[in-house]
Amino acid sequence: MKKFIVSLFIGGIVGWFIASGADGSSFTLSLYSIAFEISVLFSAISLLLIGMSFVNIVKLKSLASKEVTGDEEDVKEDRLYKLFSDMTLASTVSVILSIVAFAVIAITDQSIVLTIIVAATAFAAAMINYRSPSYMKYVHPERDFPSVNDKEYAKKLFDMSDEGERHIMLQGLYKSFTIGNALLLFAMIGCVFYSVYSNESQLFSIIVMALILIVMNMQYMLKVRNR
Amino acid sequence: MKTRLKELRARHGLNQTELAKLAKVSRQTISLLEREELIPSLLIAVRISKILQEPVDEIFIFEEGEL
Repeated sequence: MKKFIVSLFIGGIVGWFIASGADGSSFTLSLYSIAFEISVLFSAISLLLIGMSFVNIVKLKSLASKEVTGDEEDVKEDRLYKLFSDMTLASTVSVILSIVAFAVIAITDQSIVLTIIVAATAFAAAMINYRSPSYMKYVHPERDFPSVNDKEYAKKLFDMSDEGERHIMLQGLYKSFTIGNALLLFAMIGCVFYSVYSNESQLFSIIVMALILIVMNMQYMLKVRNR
Repeated sequence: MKTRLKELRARHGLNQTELAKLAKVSRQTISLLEREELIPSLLIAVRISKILQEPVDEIFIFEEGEL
């Protein structure tokens, strides 16, 4: 059912592109007229996610300080891990959305007040996202985590994880790798169609996406091949 | 692979977090092992075997076709 809906959706988009171009007319998805609304909407969502991250940090600290025993200890650990994961995800999405909002403002020349608000939101989101790994100490207080300022932070964190954690990471990363590959490929094809039918070249984006795809796959295949 | 880990852990009055600390692994690893979603390394299997005072093959049971 899910596959059918996805196929229907993709078919619809391709069909729409073909139908739009069949009569020789062109179309443009102009974002300039709604640039203000887009930047306000994305900033608002970003602020909401920053708020959610803060709430999760407070909950994380509060729960971590509670003393429990027996099966409740497992429930507590599970809840701490979920709070940490949700906080990290919210702060990451918040950074991405605030960057998009800032990009819209920079490109479309919006008011200085909006620029300052969006820049402040982006800065706050980036700060929370940068600090988010340090809250892992509330989930695993017994572990000696490397500092987030450490140049080899990611490598050290991976090295100190055990086989169960690596198993979970592998499942997650493999799924996001395959989805990332497919989505980038679809995005490239979409940009090609858009460029052809709208006469607005998306060549730069297509080349960037192609380079990302090549680097991603080279990195993966070289790592696997050289073992 | 089948496992009696949950049953044996409960018999020793340990929760997942406590067993994880004793076996020097994360609670996620114990949870995955109990759900039979991960085959443990020899090191972890032996550590758990010592904690629960049971032979490895009494905790992690492989079927004939798997060996």
